Amino acid sequence: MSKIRSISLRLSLSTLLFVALLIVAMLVAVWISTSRLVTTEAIKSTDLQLHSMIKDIEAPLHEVEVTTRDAAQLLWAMRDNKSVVEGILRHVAEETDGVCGCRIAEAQGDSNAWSSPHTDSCNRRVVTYSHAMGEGLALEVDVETEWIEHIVEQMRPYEGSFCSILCRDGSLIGVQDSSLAALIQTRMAEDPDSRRIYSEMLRGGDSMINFTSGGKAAYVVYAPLCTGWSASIMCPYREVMRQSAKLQGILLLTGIIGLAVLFMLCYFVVGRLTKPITRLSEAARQMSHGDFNVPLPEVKSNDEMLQLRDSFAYMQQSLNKYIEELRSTTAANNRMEGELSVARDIQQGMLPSTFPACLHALLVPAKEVGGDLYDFIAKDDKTLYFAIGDVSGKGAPAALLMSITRAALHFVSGLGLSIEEVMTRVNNSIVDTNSGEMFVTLFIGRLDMATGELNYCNAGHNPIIVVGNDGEARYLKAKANIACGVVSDYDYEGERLMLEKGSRLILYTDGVSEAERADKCQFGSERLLQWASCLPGDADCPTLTQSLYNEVTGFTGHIAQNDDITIMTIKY
Amino acid sequence: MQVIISSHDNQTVVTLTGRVDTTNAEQFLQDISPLMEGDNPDIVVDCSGMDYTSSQGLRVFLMLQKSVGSRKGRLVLKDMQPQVREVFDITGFSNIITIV
Repeated sequence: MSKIRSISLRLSLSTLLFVALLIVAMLVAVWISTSRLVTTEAIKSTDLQLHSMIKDIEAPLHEVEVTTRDAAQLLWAMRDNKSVVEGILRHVAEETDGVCGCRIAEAQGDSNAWSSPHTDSCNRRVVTYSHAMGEGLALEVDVETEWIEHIVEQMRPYEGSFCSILCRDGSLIGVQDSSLAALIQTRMAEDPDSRRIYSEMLRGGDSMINFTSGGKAAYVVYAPLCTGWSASIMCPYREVMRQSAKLQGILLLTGIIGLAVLFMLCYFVVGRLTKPITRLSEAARQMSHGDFNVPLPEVKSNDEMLQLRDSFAYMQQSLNKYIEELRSTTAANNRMEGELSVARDIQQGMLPSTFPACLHALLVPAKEVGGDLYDFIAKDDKTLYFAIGDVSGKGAPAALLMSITRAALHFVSGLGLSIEEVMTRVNNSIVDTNSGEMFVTLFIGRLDMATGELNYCNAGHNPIIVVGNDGEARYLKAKANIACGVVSDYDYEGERLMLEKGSRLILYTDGVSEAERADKCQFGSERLLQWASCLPGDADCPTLTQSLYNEVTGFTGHIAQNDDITIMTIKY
Repeated sequence: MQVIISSHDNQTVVTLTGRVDTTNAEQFLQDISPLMEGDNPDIVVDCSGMDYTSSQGLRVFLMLQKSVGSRKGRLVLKDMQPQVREVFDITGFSNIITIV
């Protein structure tokens, strides 16, 4: 038996699957739309922050530039007064914000420009602004880069984002770790993407570039500083989307919890709805064991379940009714069977059951009452009237006609008439009372016990067998008169035969000759004659009848007898 | 048992095949009951396919014969198999029903 999967489980699972697909589709849609929005906003915001940072860095540097320019002009004017020069230098170095050193030196490279970061004599990281004064001299002002680096390091719009300032010589501000700086520089030199960004930045571009670094997608926004440097912020997209992913995760979790709740709810509700089905099926099983009054489950909902329950109740009622009818029919049948059994006793009682030594007969009806008959009257111990007959059909109608026939036969035989006269009178009395178009095949014989003279008349009956005293058996030829009950005033013709002492007569009905095996093969007249040819000479009549009956039942085997069987044996 | 009733030139032809026994004699009677009435009483029964008849079957033939006779018609049973013919002969029915 296959495992039962309840409706509630299947329904819940399919609902669950459907809703789960819906949630996944929604999550995907939300993810796609939000990720686009989030990245656009992130780039915009990063750019803003970059420019704000640049402003923060540029302002103090600009001040230093202005101060330096003014000081340079002043110094050039006062270049002959050494103490004033020293005073101005000291003032610039000490009083200007961020400036840590100041000197007059020979002009190198670009004048009025910022240098790349370098280490000064006091081992501080500084950048130097030099302003030309004239005669190959320039005022150089050192500014510590610590605050710039601080600002750059603070610039972290996202976790994992990386801000730096690229100087013209390729050195970096904001990258403390020298090995990291070296790595970045190497990559910038080797990676085509990075090299593109690098050259763009050195050219002073202000833009955004997408690139992939180590398999991770990222974007870089960059913008130039007034110092000729380029500031940039690199943000990996993964980090940008982290918040969005978190939101997505919360949505997913909510979805899963919702699904679980939905599943339980669905399972519970459908289970409740289908509970009557389970109960009805239990009731049906009980009914199949014969308990038709098993209570049905209550259904309160006004739906198909109620219809099912009502139909079930109706079926239960009908079944009860039919069973009741069946009971009464069975009772009636039983009563009828009882009556038939009594009728059978009466019918059997009508047939003579005590036999003289010279005659024996056996009648086994196929149904309770039968249509076969036999009779005999021994008159004055000299004359033996005997008859065997078969009414067409079986059961009660045949039995009734059989009773009429037997009564007529018994009465007419007692009158001492010729055999033809007996047959004619019996025929007429049957025709008079036969409204059902039934007929009786009848063989009547009169045997003179002294002389062995046999007068006989056959009205449509099977030919009887004569076994001579030498044991030779043959069918007795007789004129085929019409069966009794068909034509009134029929002129029956009789015949005559002299029997030798020791002869035997075998009379039978078609229940013998037409007895059938399972394969529809009939006992047949040949088999019957063969049996009659092998009779032991000393066997008495009861033995012969029983022997033939056993022969027939042995032939048919377990097949139910389908016609009355009557056998009569006479010994002269 | 199978009963086929057809009509040719004002003559009804009944083709009977199989066995007529206790179990189906009533059915046989019902099948041919339309032939028990009407103005066309001439009936030919083709018995070539009939393997066996019990006394109940004979009774149906008897009823048919009586019905046909009362309407001044003619019932003919033809092409009967020998073992069936024997039953008609033994019971004397060959005397009152035309068998060819």
